[in-house]
Amino acid sequence: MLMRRWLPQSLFGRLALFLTGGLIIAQLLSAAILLQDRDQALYHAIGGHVAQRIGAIVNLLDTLDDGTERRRLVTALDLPPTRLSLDLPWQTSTAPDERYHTTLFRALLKRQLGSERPFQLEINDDLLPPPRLDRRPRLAPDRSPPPDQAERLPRWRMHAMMMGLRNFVVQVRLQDGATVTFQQALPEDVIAWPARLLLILVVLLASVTVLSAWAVRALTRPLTVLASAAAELGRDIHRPPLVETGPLEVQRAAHAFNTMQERLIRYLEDRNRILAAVSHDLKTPITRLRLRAELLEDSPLREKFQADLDDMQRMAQASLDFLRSGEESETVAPVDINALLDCLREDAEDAGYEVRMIGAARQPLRCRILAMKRCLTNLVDNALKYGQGAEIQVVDQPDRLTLTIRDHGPGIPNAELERVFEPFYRLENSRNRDTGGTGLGLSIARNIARAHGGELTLRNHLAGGLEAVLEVPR
Amino acid sequence: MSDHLLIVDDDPGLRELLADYLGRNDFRVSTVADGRGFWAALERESVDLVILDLMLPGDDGLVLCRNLRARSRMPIIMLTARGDDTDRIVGLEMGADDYLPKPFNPRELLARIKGVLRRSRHPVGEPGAVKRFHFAGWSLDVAARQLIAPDGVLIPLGASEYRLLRVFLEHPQRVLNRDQLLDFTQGREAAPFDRSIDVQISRLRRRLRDDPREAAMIKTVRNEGYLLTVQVRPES
Repeated sequence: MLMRRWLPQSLFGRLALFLTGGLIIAQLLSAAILLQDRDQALYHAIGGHVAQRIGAIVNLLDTLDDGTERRRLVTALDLPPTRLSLDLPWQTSTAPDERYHTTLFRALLKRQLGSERPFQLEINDDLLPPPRLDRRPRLAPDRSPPPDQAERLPRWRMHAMMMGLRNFVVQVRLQDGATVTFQQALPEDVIAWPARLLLILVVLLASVTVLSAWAVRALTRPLTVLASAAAELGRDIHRPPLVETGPLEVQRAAHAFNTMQERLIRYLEDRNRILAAVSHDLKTPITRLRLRAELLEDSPLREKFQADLDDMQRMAQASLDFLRSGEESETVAPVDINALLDCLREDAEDAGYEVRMIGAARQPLRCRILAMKRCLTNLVDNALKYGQGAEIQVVDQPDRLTLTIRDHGPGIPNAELERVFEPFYRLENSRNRDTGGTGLGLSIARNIARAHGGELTLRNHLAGGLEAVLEVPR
Repeated sequence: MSDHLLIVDDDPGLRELLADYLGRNDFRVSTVADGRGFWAALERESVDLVILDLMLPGDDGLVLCRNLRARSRMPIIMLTARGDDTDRIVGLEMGADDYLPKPFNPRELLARIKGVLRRSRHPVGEPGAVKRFHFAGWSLDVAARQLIAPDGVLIPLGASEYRLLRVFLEHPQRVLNRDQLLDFTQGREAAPFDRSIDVQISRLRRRLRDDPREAAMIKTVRNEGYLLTVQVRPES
């Protein structure tokens, strides 16, 4: 569950996340290993050298018995970064520092000083300040600390901290029991990320991110194309087939999609041909029957014949209209929708109904005029048939035109609102037959709406009556 | 002497029934089944009107219609089972005088036959040949029954408005009184609901974006009738 919440929703996002995430982790690990190696090498080099020097000085001091000589030598060698002193007392060592670099340095010192000689090593930043940075005479007679020492101490600590330097204190017992103290500033760890390395890492990361985004996009684009093609197929079965190029899998998917489209088209054509043939072939016999009925002597029978023939004719015509409703044979042109609605209103008024208009289209709508007229006629006829009147509301927005046709009839149960669009579907207590409906009017109207890229839906108005909402994109 | 009709249809039952029905309504009727019979019949006898089925074996109705129109002004009524608007438009473009989709009401066919015959005897400026009327930037496509505004917008027209506009376009700059208008418009096709001429005029003015209080295109001439003021250019 948690995974799902922070996982990106799109395939692109997920692939990009895993790719860049994986690459970042790999890079960080390799960078860490690299830095560790570099650190150890550096430490060996620097630490080994310092230990060697301390060993040499201790040996030299051992040869000098005279205190004055020793002191002069110590003063001469007391230069940064190694400071020497004979005056500090032997610090009783607390718990020995067991950190990696301390242990390493201790081992190096032991090798230089010999295993017999007592010494101790600790890191102590408080012990002594470093020497002044300005050059002073090597043999200064006065060894007392400079007057500004108290002020310089915290500054040095800050500097040392920023550089990652620690004050390593080594105390060695000379053969005559005197104590010599070395203070050596050494980088505790070089893992403090150097700026250059960081920069390289950032550059690498950026290029890896961009590259993987590009690669993932290239891989997922065919899927996007396929998805939009499938969506488009719902609106336009005759959309141009997909281009069958790209990686093998993509080619296969595109080919399968195109084959499916062909089969769908063939299936629809077969179905349409059958319905058209039946409806069409009925026309001649109906015409013949009409003539025969006309030849009957004037009688009530003739009237009934004609009523039945009217029904048959309406069915055949509606079937053909339904088949044509999804077609796009008519050309698209700007149409004065207000005039079209006016025509419908006037026709309804001539038939004795009342139609109320609310709002108006601000500009002509590009559509197929005969199809649109058929669509709206069907909707208004329905409203008049079941609601005894219609209210047409026009809402014109920049991106679409919405026409709402409302009646004040009994409406339709909510569960049936979608089903009544199915061809020849009839409601349970339908009065369709009595009112001469064919069961195709709404199917035709919706097909026309969709052929225009729009949609037709039904809903029950809160205050009663049915509302047909036709939305057509501008 | 009664008018002689020639029926061209490949359905024998329909041919027979039509001949019977029209014969009872005082027409002389001959029937043929296809194009060859059609030309032979025209050679043989004089014909006043042709009822032509669109779908025929061999040359179809459109071809026969075009070929006949190329040599004579003989009135033609097309019948078709297709019944969509493109067929109607093509049929009228090919020169048919009227068009009736199957299945039709026989009485409607009778009315059309009479209407076409009457017009062929009293031609009103050769209206059958006109495909388009142009007036004041507007145009009326006769075959498609479409009114096109100067800005290219299609204006839907009801059946009665179309008939009325056509009458005005065929008689431009002439005052037409209500009786004349009624006569002309109802002579063509009787619509189930024909409002009074005044209502039709006001609807037509709205379609033509003509302000009813200060109408410029269709003027009211007090106590006389109505007048289409603009110039009309028919296009064949």
